Amino acid sequence: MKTNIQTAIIFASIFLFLSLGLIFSQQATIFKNIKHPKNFSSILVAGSTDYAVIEFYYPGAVFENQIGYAPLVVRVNITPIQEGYQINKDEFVVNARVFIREENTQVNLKCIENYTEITEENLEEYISLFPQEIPNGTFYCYNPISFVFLKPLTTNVLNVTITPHIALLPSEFNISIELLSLYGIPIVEPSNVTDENGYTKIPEAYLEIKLENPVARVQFNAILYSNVFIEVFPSERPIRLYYVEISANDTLEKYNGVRLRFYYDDRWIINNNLDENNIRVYRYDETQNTWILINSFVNTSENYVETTNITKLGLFGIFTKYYTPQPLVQQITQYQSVPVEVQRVVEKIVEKPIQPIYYNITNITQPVIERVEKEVPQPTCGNNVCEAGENSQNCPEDCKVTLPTGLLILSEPAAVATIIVTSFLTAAGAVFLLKKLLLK
Amino acid sequence: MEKKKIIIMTMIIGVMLGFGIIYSGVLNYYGKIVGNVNVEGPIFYANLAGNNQLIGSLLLNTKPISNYTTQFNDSLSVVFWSDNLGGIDFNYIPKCEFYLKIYSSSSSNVKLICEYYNISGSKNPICEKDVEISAGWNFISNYCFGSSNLNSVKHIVYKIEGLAIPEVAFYIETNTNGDTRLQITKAP
Repeated sequence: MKTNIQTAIIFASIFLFLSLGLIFSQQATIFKNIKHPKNFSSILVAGSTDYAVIEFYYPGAVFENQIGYAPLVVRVNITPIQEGYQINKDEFVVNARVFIREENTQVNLKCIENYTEITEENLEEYISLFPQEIPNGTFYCYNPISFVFLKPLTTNVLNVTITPHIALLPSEFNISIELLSLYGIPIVEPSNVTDENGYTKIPEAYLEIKLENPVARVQFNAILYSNVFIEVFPSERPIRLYYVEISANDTLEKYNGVRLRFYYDDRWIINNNLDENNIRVYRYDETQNTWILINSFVNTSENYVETTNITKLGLFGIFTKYYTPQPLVQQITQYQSVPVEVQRVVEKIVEKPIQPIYYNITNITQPVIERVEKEVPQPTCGNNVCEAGENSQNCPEDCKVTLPTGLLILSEPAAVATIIVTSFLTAAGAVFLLKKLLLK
Repeated sequence: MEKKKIIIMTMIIGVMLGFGIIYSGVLNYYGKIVGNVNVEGPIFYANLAGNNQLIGSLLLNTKPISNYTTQFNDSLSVVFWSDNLGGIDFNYIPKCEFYLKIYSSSSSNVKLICEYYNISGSKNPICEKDVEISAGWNFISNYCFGSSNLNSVKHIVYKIEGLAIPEVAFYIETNTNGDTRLQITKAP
């Protein structure tokens, strides 16, 4: 009896390890079994060519709307190590090709270092993915014939060659090759560390961050995308402003979450006839391939949309919809221009941003305005949309709690530590029991 | 003692499992390779098309596929020309590094000359160096520094000129090892 229990425990331990392995293999990564059979040589003569190889397996089922096919954009970054060295366009030639092993075919990629080099008419819908200002020394390689071409269940061998110009100033360079196929092509990738008040600003990504409880400094990394490969939008707000992928070097629970403020350009909103009051923040749920609305409000006077108590980071999208005019009723946003008595009321608005107060403007030239009662539309629980004012507590049907993915777990040191400790304890138990069994 | 062994073993297994799990996850995510590359100046390999020719070519970063030898006497010279480089600019002060496989019938000197022709056809000296040659076969390596950038370069020229009084016979070999070559790199 005792032996049976011990054996069961051993099998349970093995099962646990296997399960953990499976969980991690199912994380939201697009490629598997990534290998680097060859990197560039450490010495390269100007005018000669060298190559690097990356091998990867694409299991598929990531981009369902493309019947599982995925795009492949390769970014090659060449950075001079010598301080003050400014690399110029045309100083390197980069070429890339992908050999698809299962099909025994080869696809030549086109590598560009200027946005204007994207001339293919069939790629019109993908042009917005690329940054319009490509820095010197950066190349993007893509398939000019079919942008989304990686077939599921294929092993792909990427071969990237570089040729420094014969007259290149001899120097040392850092060269990186990245496979950009998860979310999109980054425009900028800035980062910053919070100050003693838990605040940091990442203006390159239109972002301000504030820890709710700043018990320590945290580094935040932002990746700004103008567009992403994921071709899904929230149906209620189908117009994107931009996307930001945010990560941190710590978990956010112990800081009681974080407040994120995303800035936007209101001139762009107006010029494109978009609804500024309807700008909201969404987070991408890769397991469901959908955008989850996050409780957020927009400040139209300072041009930002804010969301609070965020503990899960990832890819955020700022969305809105087209503006539908409502001529008689307007929300007051110009705080300085209203009389003193009204300003007190406005302070209340700030306290309760989800419940805006509406005013009927009788005469735009008069400083006196009359307050009117207007019923603010309440969120409808059960309509499968997690609207403003709803959360997982008061409306679990709409605001489903999403479980963290393997990718998230790996990016959070506390979770990794928990896994290590659990693995260790389980292994200790397993070995101990095994030892006892063997001694018997 | 036995207990200690068990503890150590469990610790090793635990740590290995932990790292294994992390590694397997992280490795899949980062489809990125990074490395540092030191780019050096171009190498021009001297190449004779046959024996006993006094004009040869300079192959860019490519070693010759055959070995040939040529002879010249006293103050005559052998010249190697690069292909048309299209009028490019070398925006740095150059250092010419000479490599030479040479035979001399007796101790003597030769002048190693580094120069270029620009797109308009005019000759521009870069720098030159006198070197001593012992009797017999010599593997020479030496260098000299230019004084200005190279503009609109069409042809790089590597010239070996005898500085001997009669009667000295020189032999130069261009071979598959690339023993006779010129490298242009950046002056410190």
